[in-house]
Formats: sequence, structure tokens, C-alpha cells
Amino acid sequence: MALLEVSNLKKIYTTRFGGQQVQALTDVTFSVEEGEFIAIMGESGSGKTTLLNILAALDKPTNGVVKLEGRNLTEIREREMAAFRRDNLGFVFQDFNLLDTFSIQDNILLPLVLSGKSPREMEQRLAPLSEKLGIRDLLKKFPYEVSGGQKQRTAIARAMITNPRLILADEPTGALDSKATDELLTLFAAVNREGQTILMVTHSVTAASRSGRVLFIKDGQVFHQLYRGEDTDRQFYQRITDTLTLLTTGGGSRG
Amino acid sequence: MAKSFFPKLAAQSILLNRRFYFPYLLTIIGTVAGFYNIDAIATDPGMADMPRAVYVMTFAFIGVYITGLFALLFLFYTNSFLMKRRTRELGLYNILGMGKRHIALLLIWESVYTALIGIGGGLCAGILLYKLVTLALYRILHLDVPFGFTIQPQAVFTTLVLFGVILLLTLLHNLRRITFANPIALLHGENMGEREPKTRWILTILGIASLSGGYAIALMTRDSMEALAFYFLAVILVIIGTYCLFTAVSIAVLKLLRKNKKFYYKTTHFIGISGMLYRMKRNAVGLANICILSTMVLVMLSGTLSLYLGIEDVIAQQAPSDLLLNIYYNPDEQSGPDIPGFQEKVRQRVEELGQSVTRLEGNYSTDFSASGQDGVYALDYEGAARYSSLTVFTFLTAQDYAALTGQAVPELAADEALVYGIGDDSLTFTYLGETQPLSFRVRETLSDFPAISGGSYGNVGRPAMVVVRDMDTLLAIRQMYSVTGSLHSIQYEFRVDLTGTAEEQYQLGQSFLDIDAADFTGTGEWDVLRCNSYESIYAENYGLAGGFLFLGVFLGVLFMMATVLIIYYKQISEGYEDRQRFQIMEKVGLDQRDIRRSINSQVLTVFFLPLLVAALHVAFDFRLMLQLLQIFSITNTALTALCSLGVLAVFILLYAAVFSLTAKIYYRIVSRPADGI
Repeated sequence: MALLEVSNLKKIYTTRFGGQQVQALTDVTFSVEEGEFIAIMGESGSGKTTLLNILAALDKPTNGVVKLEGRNLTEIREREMAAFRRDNLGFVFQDFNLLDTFSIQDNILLPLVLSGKSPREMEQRLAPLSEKLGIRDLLKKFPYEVSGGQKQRTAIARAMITNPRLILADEPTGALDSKATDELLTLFAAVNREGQTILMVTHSVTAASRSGRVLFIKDGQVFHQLYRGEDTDRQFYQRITDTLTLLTTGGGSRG
Repeated sequence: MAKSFFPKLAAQSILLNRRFYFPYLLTIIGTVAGFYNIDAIATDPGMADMPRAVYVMTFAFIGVYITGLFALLFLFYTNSFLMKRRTRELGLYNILGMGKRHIALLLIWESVYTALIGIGGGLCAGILLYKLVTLALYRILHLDVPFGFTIQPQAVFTTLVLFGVILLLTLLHNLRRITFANPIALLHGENMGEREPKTRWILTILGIASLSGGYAIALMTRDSMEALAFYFLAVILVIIGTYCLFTAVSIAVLKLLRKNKKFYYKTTHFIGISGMLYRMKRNAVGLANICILSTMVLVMLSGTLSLYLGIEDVIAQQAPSDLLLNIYYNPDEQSGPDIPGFQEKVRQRVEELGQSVTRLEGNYSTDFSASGQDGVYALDYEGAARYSSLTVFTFLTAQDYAALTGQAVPELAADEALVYGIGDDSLTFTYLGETQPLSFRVRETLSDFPAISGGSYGNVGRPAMVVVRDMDTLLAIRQMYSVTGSLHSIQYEFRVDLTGTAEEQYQLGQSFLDIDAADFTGTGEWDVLRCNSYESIYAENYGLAGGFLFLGVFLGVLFMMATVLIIYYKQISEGYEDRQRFQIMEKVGLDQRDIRRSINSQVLTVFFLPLLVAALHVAFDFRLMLQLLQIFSITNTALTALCSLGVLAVFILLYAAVFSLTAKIYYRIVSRPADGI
């Protein structure tokens, strides 16, 4: 069974004034296997963010089903939703979304505190994770005292500390310079090799070329997908670029 | 650009920023109305004619300065808050191509509107309110309310000038800000990275020390005079202490709490402590302001209310009859007044003025104040200072006592006494331990005593009456007192009741004031005659207490308005700050219920902390207040306690109402739906 199954997802927004309807997602179907590293690409307005919001259970689809390990997200009750999200999903955002009121350590521990874990257990989880992400020496600092790359690694640590089934990343390299981007993607790849499933929405071909599979979204549907296969990063990069060119110059049919 | 562009843009931007602008305008209207009223009272020609309003006018005169200063500080404060919230908007205008000159023009137009609405509206409100305020004032002073509706051009002019200048100053301040800022800085003005506050041990220690110092003064002053002398020192220490408490002590405590992992890593504590630590830095001063303003409101209102409500007792004590005549003589040189002759003169004079006497009685007495306990009282200040409060002793003879009560003359030995007002078994009066002390055994403690003023007028302390055997004993007491260096008189007090109306009696009392010694020739040998009427004592006391109450309520309302506004602005600005924070937490997996709970606990703590500290200040101030009230002869502790508790209760209710209203706005800002990932 696939870890995540998305079938026939449809989302229609009604604008607040005037009641005009906007179709963000037309018909999206795909699935994610355990241990995959998937990138979702598409232009602005293609529906990527809507898709991610629905996967994160922050938004409800107009139609269609999202199943995580066979459990239908739309059927989870509101009161359990926060806990479900906390335990099963990890989030990494473009602008990090760290809380400047907390030290790096407390930012990472936030989901565990919300779950009511003991300080001992927190310590046990934090130590190896911060080591692995290379932020061990920063734990006592505050977000405004560290660099963008370090902030993003903190965000990843926060996403991973609950051992989630799936990490959802929204443009994780969007606010980083090329060096930090490279470090982050290497980190993602390493984490993925250890078995962490990652789903990443991105504009960046560089970022996408480090994943195992790329889904292209256009006009609210999955337009195309590419598997890395035996490609190197460079080769995969080239194929992604070609596909994007095809996409923007208006290839009509599914490839 | 079209001529009407800036006026239109300015109007729009006021409407757009109404959440900040309307309270600001309301503040101006409120302060203007308040200032007009206090200034109008201070200069009201109608009031200047009334002797009873003298105190009120003096107080109002002081109030004018306080209100003016307050207006300047407070309008600057609210204006700077408003501008801080708007830096982003102005920065955006700048980036979109408006030059600084244009932004200046926009601000100038906004100021014009502000001035028109604020000062114009304030004056209208003030003029309408003036009728109400004078109604309340006359009621407080127990005066008849005059008809008519007056506008005072002088006060209107002063108000216009003062607030025109204040608003001009704030405009210049804003323009200066714009001139020296670059657009990017303007654009990011609101979200500048804020560091976590450091623990400042020196301030923490200073805060604890000065607060303890202020409290210690409040607990250790021994009498009214000391209370008066040290009151302002105590107030300043407590104010310094309060600022330190909120800025440094709070942070030290929160950091200690954070060190305790078991306590800290719980959802509500985790979010609450870190959030408060963070916001303490920029909010500490605001919270301290709220706390100090609240304390002022509470102290002023409860103090002046206790004075006002307690003054009835004081009047009864000072004026046991419609007319009081106190004759003082020196028994070493004078034979004393001829009582029947004097009575005849008084009757004559009263009848000349068209009234008649319904009661005429009197007694000899001598009095002094002393301080002590367990029956030992010291006349010297050094001895007196060891004890907390002064007692005013009035001595009279057994014969006079019997005549006043209609009982048989009590059989007393030379060293025996009947006492009223204190519970001692014996009385010993000492002076510097040098002279032979004077002692009495208490034969009986009386539960009731005829109403005599005993010359207590102007004395500070609780009254005690002592009945001794005869005039010889009275003279011995006087002799004993003369060791203090001042020679006391023996006095005879006539208490006269009259038939006239209140106004006639007042006039009669006043006419006795102008009496010439020559009018009383042939009434024996004496030094001084002092006259007083119930009506003039009544007018004097209500004039004074009413004046205090009026000023207390006026400044109380003004400061309360400031408190409310500071709370409102804090809630809003914190709402915007916290909004993003809670959205992030929601994404990370905090559910709405937890969000609500943690917002609640944080907001509650932050806003009720100042109230709690203010209540503590008031509790410590209570003793000082009792001592200060003694200066006005108010000794009713129960009444003062009741007033304090009542004022506190009303204030808490009001505070809670304001809080819950503004908390709603806060929730609305914070819980606006998240923008998605």
C-alpha cells in the first residue's frame, strides 16, 4: 500500500466578494511510496500551494480523497486534527516560520511539548538529531542570531523530531543562497536515504533535480511526471529543464 | 497633482487606520473636554463669588497645570504609537513615488483633520459637559444649583491655544521622523528584530530595594506629620520600584521559571513564559504605566472619598452647636470672663440680628495633645515620636460635667479622673522625663459624653475627654503643660443654638467674627474671643472635602481614560505581533483550543498583573492614607477601609470590562484564518 494516496482531488474557491469561482485543482491523482523523495513543480498559480495545503490538512478539497497510510484525511475530526498533523506530518516552509520568542532548541522541541512528552525524552531525541543536522552548537541561540541555512536546518529538525511519516516542504530553498541551498538539498537527500519520505513543492530545478521523482502540475492537474531512474543529478536536471520548456511552450497532451 | 488630492488622501488614510485613529481622536476629545472644564472652573466668575468654592477653585487651578502636562505627555505617547503602526504604510507611499514633501503634506492634512475633530469635538463636548460637571460640583459642595448655561470664552481660548500647540508639536515630531528615515527603514519599521531581554541584576536589586523602601516608609511612619513629610519620598520610591519590577524583576523571575525544565516544557507554560519574556521588553514600561496610573486612580479616589464621607463626623465634632464662642484667658494675670454678663451680651447681640437663642451652655477647659500608650503620654516631641498617633486631651471640671449632663457632681479625689475616648486605667503625662509627671487614676471610663468641641478645632489626633475634680486641678494641668515653654490658656466655650435659617445663621456667625473687644466691655478679664458657627464650619469643611473629592474624581477619570487607552493600544499591537506567531504554531500542530487557552493565560497575566500590583500598592498605602486623613481630623478607619475596598471593587469591574472588550478585538486579530502554508 502506498504511504500517501491522492485521488481525483478537486478544489474550487469562491472569491469573497462577487462570488466568482476559481478552480485551483481540477483533477489530481498520484501516490507516494514509503521512502520516496518527490518534488512537485509548476508555475505560480498552477495549484501547487493549494495541493500542499490540502495534503497538510490545512484546507479541505471540494472533491476527492487524500489517504495517509489508508486513513482518509477529510474524515479526521477537527479536534484530533492538530494532534494528527503533529504526529504524522512534518513541515518545512520557505520563510522558515521559526518563532523568534524561542531559542533554536525550543523551536525544535515545540511539537514535542505540544504532545506532552517528558523533558527526558525530548533530550534523547534532540541530541542525535541536532548532531545529524549540524546545529548542535546553536541550540542555545535565537533565530535572529543564526544564518538562513541554519534557520532552515532548525526548521527541518523541528519537522523531524516527531518522527513523522511524511515531510512536506514548501519551497524550502526559496530564501537561501546557493551554498545554503546546496547544503540543504544534500541534507534532504541524506535524510531520505535513511528512509524519510519527503514531498517538496518547488520552483527550483536545482532542488527538483535532487529528488527521486518530479511531478509537474499545470492548470490544476498533474501534467507529467519524471522518474530519476539511473540519472545523475546533472542528467536529471537536463530532463527537468526540457520538460519545463515543453510545459511553458504549451504542449497540450499528457506526456 | 490635483489640489484636492491630499485632503482626500488624508481623510482616506484616517478612515483606513481607524482602529488606531479613532481612539486617538477620542483621547484628544476627552482631554480637551477635561481641560476646558477644569480651566472653566478655575476661572468661573460665578464661582469666585461663593466663599465655599474657594478651595475648589484653588484645586482646579492646580488641576489645570496637571491636566495640561498630562495632555502634552499623553497625546505624544498616543501619537507615537499611532505613527509606529503607520511607518510601513508611509514607507510604501514613499516607495510608490511620493516624495517626502508629499508625505509631509499628507501628514499636515491629517493633522488639520485631527485638530478640527479633536479640538472642535472636545470643546463642544466640554461645553455641554460643563453644565453636568457644575451640577455635580454644586451637589458635592452642598450648594444650591444655579440656573443657566454658560460658556467661558477665556477657557475656550486657553484650550484652543494649548491643544493647538500640542498638536503642532506632535506634527513637527512626526515630520522630523519622516525626514530622517529612509524608505526601506520605514517599510520594515514595524518588524525590527527584537532581542531577548537580558537579566539586569542591578535594576532587579534596585527595584526590590526601592519598593521595599517605599513599603517600609508606609509601614513605619509614626504620625500624620511624618506621613506627610515622607509621603512623596514613598511615592517616588514605589514608582521607581514599579518600573524596575516590571522591566527587570519580571524578566529575572521568568528566566528562573524557564530554567525549571519540568515546569517550562508544558504547552501553556512553554508558550506563555517565552511569549511574556519576549514581550516584557517592550511592554514592561507600558505595564508599569498602567500599574502606576491605576494606583493613582485608586489612591486619589479612595482618599478623597473617605475624606468627603468622613467630614460629617468632623463637623459634628467641631461644631456641637449652631454658634461657638471660645474665650481664652491667662489665669495667672486675669480673673477670667464674667459668664452671666457674657451670656447677656450674646443674647442681646443675637436678638439684634433678628434671631433668638434656644440653648446656651458652656464649660471651662484646657487641652493639649500628647502621644503614648498604656496610659503614659509624652508632651514633648521626642517622647511623642516614639508612638504612632497623637491624642488630643481636653480636661474639664466635675462641676461643668455635671451641669452638662444634668447628673450629680461626681465625687473625685485630686488624682482621680473620668475619661472618655481612651481605654487606659491610669493617665500619666511626662515631659522629657525631667519634671514631676502628672498622674491620674481613672475612676470610670465613660461610654458617652456631651458634645463639646473642646477647642479641638485644628488639632490633629483622636479626641479624649478627661473630667477632673475642680478648677484647681485644671490649673495644675495647665501649669504642668507650661514646662513645654508655651503657656496655655484656660478657655471657656459657649455653645449657642439659634432659630434662624442656615443662611441667617451663617451671616450671624460671620458678624460675630467682626466683633470688637469693646462690644464686650464689662464681661470680665480675658485675652481672645474666637467665634465660629456650625454653618461656616460646615461650609469650610464641605468646601475643602468637596474640593478634594472633585479634583480626585476629575483626575481619576482622566487617568482612567489614559489607562483604558493604553490597554486598548497594547491589546491591538500585541494582537498583530502575536498573530503570526500563533499561525506558525497552528501549522506546527497546535490546535485552536490550545491556542485560545494559551492566549487567555498570557493575556490575563499580562493585563491583570498591573492591577494586582496596584492593589498591593494601595494596601500598603492604606496606613499612610489613614495618617494623612488624620490631618483633616478623619479617624474613622472602618469608613476609610470601606471606601478603599469599594473604589477597588468598582475599579476592578471597570478594568475587567475594558479588558474583555479589548480582548475581543485581540482575538479577532489573532484568530483571523491562517494564510495557508
